[in-house]
Amino acid sequence: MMLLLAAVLSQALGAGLSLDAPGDAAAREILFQPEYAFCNDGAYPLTEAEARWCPLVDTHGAAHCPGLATACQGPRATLAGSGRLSSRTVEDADAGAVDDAQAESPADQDPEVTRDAGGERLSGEGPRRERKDSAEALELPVLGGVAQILFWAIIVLAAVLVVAAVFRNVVRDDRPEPDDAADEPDDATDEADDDARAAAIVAMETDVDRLLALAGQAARDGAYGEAVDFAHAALLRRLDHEGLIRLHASRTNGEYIRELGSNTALHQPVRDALRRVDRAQFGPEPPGRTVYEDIRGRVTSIVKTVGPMALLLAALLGAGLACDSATQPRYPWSTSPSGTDAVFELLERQGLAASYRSAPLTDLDADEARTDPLIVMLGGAAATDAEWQALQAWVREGGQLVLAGSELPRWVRVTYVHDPEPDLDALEYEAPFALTPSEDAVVVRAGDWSGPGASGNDYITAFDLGFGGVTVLADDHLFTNAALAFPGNPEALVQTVGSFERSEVEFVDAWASVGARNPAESIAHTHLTAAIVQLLVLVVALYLWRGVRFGRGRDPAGQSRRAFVQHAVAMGRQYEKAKAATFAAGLFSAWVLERLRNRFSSAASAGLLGLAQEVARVSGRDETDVMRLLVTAHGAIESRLSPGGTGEDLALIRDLGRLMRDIGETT
Amino acid sequence: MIPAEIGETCERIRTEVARVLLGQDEVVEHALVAILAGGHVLIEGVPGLGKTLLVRVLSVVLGCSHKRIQFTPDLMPSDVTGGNVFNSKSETFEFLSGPVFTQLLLADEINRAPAKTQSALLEAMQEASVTVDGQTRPLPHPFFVMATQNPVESQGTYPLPEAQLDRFMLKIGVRHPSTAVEKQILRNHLQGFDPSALAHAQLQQVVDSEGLLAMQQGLREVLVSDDLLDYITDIIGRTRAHRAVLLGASPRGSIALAAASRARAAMLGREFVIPDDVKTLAPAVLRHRIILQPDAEFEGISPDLCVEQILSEAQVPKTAA
Repeated sequence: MMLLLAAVLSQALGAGLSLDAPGDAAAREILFQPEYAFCNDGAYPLTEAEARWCPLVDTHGAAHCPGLATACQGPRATLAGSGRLSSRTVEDADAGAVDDAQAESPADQDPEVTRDAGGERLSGEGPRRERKDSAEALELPVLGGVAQILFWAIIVLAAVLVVAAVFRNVVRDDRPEPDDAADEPDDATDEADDDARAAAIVAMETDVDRLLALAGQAARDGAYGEAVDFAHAALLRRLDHEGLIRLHASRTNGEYIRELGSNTALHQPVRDALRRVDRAQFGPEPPGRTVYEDIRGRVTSIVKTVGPMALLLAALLGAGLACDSATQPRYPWSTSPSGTDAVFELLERQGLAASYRSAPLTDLDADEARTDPLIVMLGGAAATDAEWQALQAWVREGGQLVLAGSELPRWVRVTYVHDPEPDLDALEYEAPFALTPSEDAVVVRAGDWSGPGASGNDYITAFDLGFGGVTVLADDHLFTNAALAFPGNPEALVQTVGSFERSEVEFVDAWASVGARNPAESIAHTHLTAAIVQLLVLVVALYLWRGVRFGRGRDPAGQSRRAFVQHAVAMGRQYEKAKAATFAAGLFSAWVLERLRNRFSSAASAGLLGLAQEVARVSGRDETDVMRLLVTAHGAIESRLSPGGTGEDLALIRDLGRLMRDIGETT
Repeated sequence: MIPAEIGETCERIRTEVARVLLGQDEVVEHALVAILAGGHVLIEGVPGLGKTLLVRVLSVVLGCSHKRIQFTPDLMPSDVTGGNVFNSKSETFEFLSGPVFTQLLLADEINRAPAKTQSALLEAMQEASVTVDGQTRPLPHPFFVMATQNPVESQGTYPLPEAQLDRFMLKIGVRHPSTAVEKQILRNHLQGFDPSALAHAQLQQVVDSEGLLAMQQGLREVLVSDDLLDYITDIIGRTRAHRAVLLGASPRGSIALAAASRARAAMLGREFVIPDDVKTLAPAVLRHRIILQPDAEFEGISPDLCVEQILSEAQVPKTAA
């Protein structure tokens, strides 16, 4: 294995600096694509870690990536978080801070976190690297005693309010619906008014299911006309609820049909249904059972269709939003210098399928090790003891493993060494694709399997284990987009990976095995299974107790604008309490008379009589009644400064309000 | 004739007219509504939009006679109605009928003639007869007046009095055709279409005068329910109570709205009127029957705006809202 790798590297290096090598030509073509902004945008902000490529630009030249030299002179970005989902902030002197959702490569993470203070840690010794959570933990501020009491009091109060709201909704069946008319108890006292109100409530029913139920009830009673009306209302309400039409009392069925004109799926069936409704409601023959059932069938089929269609529409809209390029970061991680898109594309062009591994390493089957993909563990990768054991067994059965700057298990007797005096010539020969070795370069010490390096410290080393093999690299820089910018590296990468004779490559980083394979596993990871099961049990219990709805089905509260006269009445009540309702009545009367005089200016010159005649003509009221009301209003103006007030003052305000409504004035 | 047959005939008429007159579907539909309902149409539009062509095409398709009067400031009533002329041979006065004695009359730029001449049409439009020198002569049936006026030029014009306006069942605003339609018109002309030689267009006569009268009779079969009568009267009542309106629509307006709605229902093959018929035709029936308050006019409020507001407030019968 070792000899094979050395031969491959020698061959790669022999042709490495040639831009005509297939790997180099492909890499140049890939990096010239506009999505690789660091090669095409001189203003691209590099991180400090990415900027470590810059010395190599000076010595070797980034022939595949012309923009990198300019980017090296530009501003630096700072990173928050780690892994593929970390974000970068660019300090822009002109425009302030600009955030881009961009992650740092595992290779860019500080190597010190994985090594001891002396720069050397033998595998299996000292504390193991723990799997890091990408999400930052929520930290509550340190609260004092009173603040803590207040904090928990607010939480408990909120919980109590929620429970109380649910309880009140459950037990409110016996309470009457709130009604604006309650403001005017004098209008709702007799039985006839109660009947009218009940009829109005039925007429204003907005729930589709209840409207269909009312239609069925009316049909059973033989009132097919009413049944058709309810079915008609159910259809329009459903269309309105889904936002397909704008329901209004002044709109006709024809307008609703025209409004649905762009909806090819619904236009025709709705038109057919509404035409039949029109015939039933305005045609020469009153609707019978057959007509009703025909309409009911059409309405039901549409009502059942609209919901799923709306959901589908919402899903498509959501998908569209999710795919909206505007929501993507300006500089995505995958095409950044630390990203791996170019590496993946290069490998795929060479016939190798590359992907990130999401399944746990314990899923590796030793029996299929000879045909499994090549596993490349990147710098941020961390494995549990069980996973390392599984990997060892897998390698022994023929698997090929590359450890590129990742933590090393005990059974790999290779160490990372913080070498203060590296053999630069050897490393330069061995690692042309990596960073220029500096004085504190990290190298690989192969121990018993010492490699070709003169000092025994190498950039890359390999050994066989059982039927398989393990290759160790000092870091994972070779597997980043930036590495491909330098001549020779792409060909070296292609030939190195190709030497393992596998058709697939799986990269393992910090996110491997973090994801769940199904929703149940996802819930299990959050340790919320018990809570969710309890909630489901609660829902089932409420369903068994109360049915589909936990409380009484109610119409949503309509948005109503109070008329000016209602404000005047309310103010009059306040004045009445203060024994000064006469004052409010006088003010409102003055306002009404002024409005009337402005509107009927020609008649107003004849005094109250002319005004009353004109108002009576327009409103259709009896002229004497109008005159009496105007005279009363005039008297109220005269006596508005008198103390006191009675219910008659409020009645005067209401009468004047009705008069204004009758002549079309907005109050 | 039953409404289904009326609808079928009207569809054929529209198809035939559309072969020659492009992009004026609404005008054609309203003209047919007025003809079926026995009313007259006032068209407000600039010259060159095909008004004369419409009358000529309709006369061919409907099998009716037609004449055109160009109204001018010096036009006399006798130029419209005709008059008695002394015949020196027979030494008697003989009645020489004017252009009003036709079935389809195009009164072009009617507001250019003085009120006296305009009024000559009053009796003709309302009574379908003409009285000259004390003798009343009936006009041919059916009798349909399509008058036009230019909304742009106001100098040298005589605005139609309210009484005259009320005689028109519908007032239609004609707009310029769309670019695509205008391109098709150009293409037709380049291919040899000559509006002055309709014979070359090989228009088919769809119905004759008797058939047209039968269609008018057939409208009686169209039902207008009580709910719709309430709806119509509600709309008309609101024109009288609207704050921007000085004088609302008259009962003749109610009658016109009901009749026009019936005609539209029949044209669509229905034997009953629905609210959509009323609401669709209300602007054309009411816009010229509303007189605005002076201050409302000053604020830029138009009759169309008032009607639109009224229709948006009037509750449609059997509404589900």
